[in-house]
Amino acid sequence: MSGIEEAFSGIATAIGVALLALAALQILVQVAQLVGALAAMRRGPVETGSRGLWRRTGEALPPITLIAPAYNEVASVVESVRSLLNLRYPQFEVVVVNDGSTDATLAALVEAFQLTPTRRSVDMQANCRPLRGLYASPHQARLLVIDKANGGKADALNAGLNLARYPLVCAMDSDSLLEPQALLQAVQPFLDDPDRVIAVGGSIRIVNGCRVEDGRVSEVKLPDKILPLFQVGEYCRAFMIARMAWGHVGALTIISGAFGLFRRDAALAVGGYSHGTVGEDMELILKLHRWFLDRGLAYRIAFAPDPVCWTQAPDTLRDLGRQRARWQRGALETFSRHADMLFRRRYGRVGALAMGNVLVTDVLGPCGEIAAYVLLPLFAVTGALSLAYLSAFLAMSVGFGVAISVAGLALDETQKSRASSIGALLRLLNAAVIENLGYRQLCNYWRVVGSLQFLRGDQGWGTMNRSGFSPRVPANA
Amino acid sequence: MALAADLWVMAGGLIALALLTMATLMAIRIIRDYRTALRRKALSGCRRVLLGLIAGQVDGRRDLVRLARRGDLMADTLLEIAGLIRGADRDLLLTGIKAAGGFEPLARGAKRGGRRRRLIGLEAIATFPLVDCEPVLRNSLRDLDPEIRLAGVSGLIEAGAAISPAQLIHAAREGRLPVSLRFMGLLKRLIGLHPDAAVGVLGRSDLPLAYQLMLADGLGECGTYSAIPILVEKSQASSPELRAVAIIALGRLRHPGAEITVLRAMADIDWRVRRAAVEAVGLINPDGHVAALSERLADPVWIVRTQAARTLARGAAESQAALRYVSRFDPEGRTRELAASVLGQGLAA
Repeated sequence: MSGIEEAFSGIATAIGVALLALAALQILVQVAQLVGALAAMRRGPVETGSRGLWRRTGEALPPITLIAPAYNEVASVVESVRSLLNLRYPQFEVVVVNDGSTDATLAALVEAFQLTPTRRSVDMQANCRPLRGLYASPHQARLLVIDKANGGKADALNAGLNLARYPLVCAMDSDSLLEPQALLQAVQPFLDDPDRVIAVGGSIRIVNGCRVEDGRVSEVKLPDKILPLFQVGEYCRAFMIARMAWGHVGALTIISGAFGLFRRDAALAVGGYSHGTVGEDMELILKLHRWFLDRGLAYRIAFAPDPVCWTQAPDTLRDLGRQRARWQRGALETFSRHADMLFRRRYGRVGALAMGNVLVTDVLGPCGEIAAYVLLPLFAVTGALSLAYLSAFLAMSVGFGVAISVAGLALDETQKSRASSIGALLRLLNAAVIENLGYRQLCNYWRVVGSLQFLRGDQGWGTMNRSGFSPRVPANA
Repeated sequence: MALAADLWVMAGGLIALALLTMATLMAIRIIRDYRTALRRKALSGCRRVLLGLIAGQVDGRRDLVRLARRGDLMADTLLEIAGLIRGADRDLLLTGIKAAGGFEPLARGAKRGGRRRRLIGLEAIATFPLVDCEPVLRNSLRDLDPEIRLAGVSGLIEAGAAISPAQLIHAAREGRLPVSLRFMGLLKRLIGLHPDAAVGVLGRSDLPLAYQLMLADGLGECGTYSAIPILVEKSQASSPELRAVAIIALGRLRHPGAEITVLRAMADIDWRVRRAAVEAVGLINPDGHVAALSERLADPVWIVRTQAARTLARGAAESQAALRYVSRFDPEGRTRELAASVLGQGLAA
């Protein structure tokens, strides 16, 4: 063997070992999350039905302000707001923030709810762009619409935080639908531990394929198209395994921007949502961790699997790619802003476990996996790696992916039964197997694209085509 | 090569395990769907029989005896129906269930089984008269689960057992009951039932601040004037939170005797107390203190200013006229803006 060949073989071995070590770390994280989720489920809430919750907690429920930012959401905003106004909860207000939409979002709201200009005293504690007007409805005393200059989602949420009147605020997307009892379920951790709980995240489910009537999901069905179907399984893993486990150990780093409940004073104490990032939801949670840990105050950020928020999933490769790249960019932006928390004793399990998980899963993971798909075959072709090993690694990768996908569905099935029928369950299980043969790799590719965008300093959200909810989300919209 | 073979075996094992899990899940789902359908049918039958009982139908008695043996089913249906009826109808329902032998299965359900079964069982048991349900509910106070103990206490209060606010607070301080907002709800209910006892507890010098806050708040809601002296005393406590809660409570009692205390609190050094005082004045006699309220429109803290404006806006003509004057002629721009803003609010109040 020549010197060059030896050097190449040495480099290939080193890269191979590094990639294997990364894969082993990721497997370790996944298995740990599975164990954590199982432990969390054993200590889950005893009652989740709205009737029982009303009976038991009706007297003690604190009032909530729902904040729904809307930017060019003319297709779905009216239906979403109607669904919010019909929630089963004793005292709440809905604050819709029109973030300088260039379409007819505000006009649609004005027409649907017969809004008229109003005024309200406000103290701008959280940074946001100037307000252009406030609108209220003579028929819906619970509704307030804020019209403001465009400043992004974080800016819109801050405007809502400033105008919120209640001690708890629920941040959500205006193109999402909450189940009628979602607030009732989400507020339970605040009732159980009012002094320490500062934020609670709920589950997100995919509405594509479901029948939606009057702003409510009246019939739960799986999406007809394959891309949203894969995402059903992904969301299931993200919420029923990952967030369940991280919430259980007190190291949750993200509460989805589509549905999260916060103590208003805590959110304002950290300055509200941060500008200049597309990962404002994750950023807020890390800021809260940091603020409370820096001061040595007792707090808890919880995950409640029962409250469900329905959201539209992208059903084209273009939209999905943009979304995943944006998520990755958001995760990296947040990680870079809080990288000093990593492995620092002061930040305890958040610094060691949660930030360590972000490092392995979000920062290194996608690049490592894509590098493995490119480099390992290259090494095999050049003879640095035997074909037997290459095929064994690929088989192991697919086998582990299938096992984790099915485990996520199994946990979900034992708790929530996401599939409405035996046929739907079979489709989900099949998708859980198939997604490992191309879809997972594609998602990792998009995440690498997102990483490159982060390194280039790209900003902006991109656009996603919205189809609205009624009468039924078309399969091929 | 051995490692490659091992990896293949592991991958195969994982996929086989996944397939086995899939098959098991399908089997479990089939069984669960079948059982859910059966339970739904049984619940519907049980609902029909219990409603028939209230309507005085005698032909469903035999079904009732059969259904009464299923404690969990009976508990769910009983809670559903008992929440909608009162008086003679409710008595008829409970007597009928007891006569059909339905009480014992409910009591067993409240003692044994999973958390949900015990909790629902306790709640259903608490709908029966105190003489029947008290032993079961008292027994639940020894449960290892704090939520079950809290449900037991709630049931006892619901059924009319003699529990005082002092006993409830004592149980919480000993760690036997979790201090949650649910606990707070129970304590408030007890304060409403035994206001004088609550006044006595609030007067204790060794009571932790959290309980003092809950008691002061509850006393303000229950409307007993005997609480005024202790609330006046607490309005001068060292804790600003307690001072604020006591002032709001005095406002809610709407007794003219508390007016001087509340007015004095408008000049407190803590903004929370000043805000509470402005709100309390609005509850007691807003039109009698227009000048004092107008002064608060220039408070250095925005939330006090806003509260003052809101209080004036809710008052009669004189208060509103004062606010209108301020909105036009106050030398401070921000005060004029605030007054105009509150006056213009109207909707979405």
